[in-house]
Amino acid sequence: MDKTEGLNLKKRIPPDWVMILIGGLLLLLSLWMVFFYAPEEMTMGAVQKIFYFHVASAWVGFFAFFITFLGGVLYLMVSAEKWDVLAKSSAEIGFVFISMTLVTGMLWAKPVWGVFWTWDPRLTISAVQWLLYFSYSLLRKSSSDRNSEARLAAVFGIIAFITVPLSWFAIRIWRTIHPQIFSGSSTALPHKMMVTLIVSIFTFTFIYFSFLIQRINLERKSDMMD
Amino acid sequence: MNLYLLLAYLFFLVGIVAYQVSLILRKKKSKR
Repeated sequence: MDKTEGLNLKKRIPPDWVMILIGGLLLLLSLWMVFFYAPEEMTMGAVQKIFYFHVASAWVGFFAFFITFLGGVLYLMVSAEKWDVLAKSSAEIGFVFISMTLVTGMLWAKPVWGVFWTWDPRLTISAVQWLLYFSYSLLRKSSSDRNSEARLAAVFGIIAFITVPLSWFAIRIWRTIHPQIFSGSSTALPHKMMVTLIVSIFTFTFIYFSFLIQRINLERKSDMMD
Repeated sequence: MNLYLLLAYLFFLVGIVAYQVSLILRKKKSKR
């Protein structure tokens, strides 16, 4: 039986190479906007431009973990393997993006704060989040019994998701040196910076879906071989 | 050009390309 039945996206979306090509072109457009369209910030200078992909990458990481959370909940409710495949695939991609967010955040922190890392609430939660999803990836490789692995991973994915709202609210609740871009009422970003950020977020979201579709199809192929 | 900025964007590109390549390689492996 095809465990990704119902998630068989191949019939509804363009082939992989088209998605990769569009993703690549969007990435080039975003890079051009970051380096040539967006103005330089006055206090931090050129290094502030890390912000565009850093925020976009964090957004995709959070979104991917939300999909893992959702997949976990649905798997526990109906025990259909397709939801486990969705959760597993999304967690793997989320981990890639959240790792990029962490590393590039450190590269931004060094010239601005003077240190690569500080135990600020937002950064501490991000470190815990990274460790949790790293553990999740180990869990997915450790168990031999498919059903118990899926059940355990679903519970783990649901619990680990708490780091996403915690991270979001950390800079709003506690005193932190991490900048807050999106406050409830308005954003302080100039127009050109905002447009660049939106294009970057759109690009990263597109790449996430391209990765997700390829990852799910990969799982389907490996299942057919079993 | 700021070194940290350059390193950060290089890291983004390497990360995205490396994951894409890993997906392609795994797909090829599963076809065999």
